[in-house]
Amino acid sequence: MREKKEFFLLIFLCLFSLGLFWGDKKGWLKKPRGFLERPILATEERIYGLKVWVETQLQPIFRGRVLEKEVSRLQLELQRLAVDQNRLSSCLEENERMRRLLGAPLPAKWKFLPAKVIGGGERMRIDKGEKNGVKPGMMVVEENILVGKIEKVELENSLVLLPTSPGQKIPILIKRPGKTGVQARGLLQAFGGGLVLDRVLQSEDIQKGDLVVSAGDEDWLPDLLIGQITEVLPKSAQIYQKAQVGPIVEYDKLRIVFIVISNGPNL
Amino acid sequence: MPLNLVLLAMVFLAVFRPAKEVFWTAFISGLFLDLAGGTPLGFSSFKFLVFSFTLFLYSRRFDSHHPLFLAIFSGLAGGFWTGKFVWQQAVILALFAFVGGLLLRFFLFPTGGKLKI
Repeated sequence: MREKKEFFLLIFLCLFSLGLFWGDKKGWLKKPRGFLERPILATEERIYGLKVWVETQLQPIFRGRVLEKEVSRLQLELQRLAVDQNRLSSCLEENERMRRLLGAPLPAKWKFLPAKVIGGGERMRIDKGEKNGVKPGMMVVEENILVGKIEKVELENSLVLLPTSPGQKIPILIKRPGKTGVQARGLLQAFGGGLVLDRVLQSEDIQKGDLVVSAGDEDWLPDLLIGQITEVLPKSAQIYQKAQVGPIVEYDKLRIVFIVISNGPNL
Repeated sequence: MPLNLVLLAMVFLAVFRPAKEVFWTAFISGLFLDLAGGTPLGFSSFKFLVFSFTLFLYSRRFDSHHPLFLAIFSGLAGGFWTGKFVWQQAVILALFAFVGGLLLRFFLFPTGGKLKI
């Protein structure tokens, strides 16, 4: 008898889960989901901030660098101020990023929305969502560096697909620092948490240090810096050559990013 | 690499606690995981319920308290969690499960049975 009850409970919960899944896919659960997510995301944001702080503290130990006493004291002081005056320091950081964004070589017609990073991992979570006008497919940048593309939008937050997210493929151009013009074209793919450049013709000349920028194909905005070639893999008999690419920015260290909410009259 | 420690906790709960409690915990934990991870609601709950039920079916005939079984089950469940087998996730979860199983089986509950809280 007891086993029957447990079995019926299991069936009920399975059906209820599937019902919730279907309802969420249809978009019927956006409002209750947004309400329930708030305390969870607030906690996630705190934990993420703590993680970044701990990594910064441990950096000198693990990398073997010796920081100057005054620099260490000032870093600790800055972190204490950030904890004590969290809102003010966030605004100051946001203003600084916006000033640097204004100075970045980006088209004047692009419009930006600042967003705070509240979660990391394979995908980045930011604190702007549907109610702020965010839509799936929008680009996320930091100055003129590509951070990712909005994958999923909730009411008050969104998930960002990074260039290093599994399955990500970005059409790119390769440019040599100090030279004009395009060295080569290729496809940047996420592989094992890193970036691999593929579909570059053997006849094209690429070398370590070349810059990798977005080509502007397949809904990606053009001329956004993504990374730099760290190693060209040995040539093989295949049509294409490959290379390892190191990201320009450490995605898990970002705190403020900018969503491109408009890149011209059509968006 | 993100570790699915919630899944590991669910496996241990399923082995050491009664079915009714495990099913409710699986359902609610799955909802929390979906809210925090951004996956569709109900998705993780359903997977947890299926894993727990599989574990219960196994435990009817065999010794599910054995650390080796816990390691293999946790490894397979964790490895296949995202749909594609991730061997790094499987190995680490299996290691954690094995050590946890050893501690629980041989030091806390040498005769097996359910965990009384």
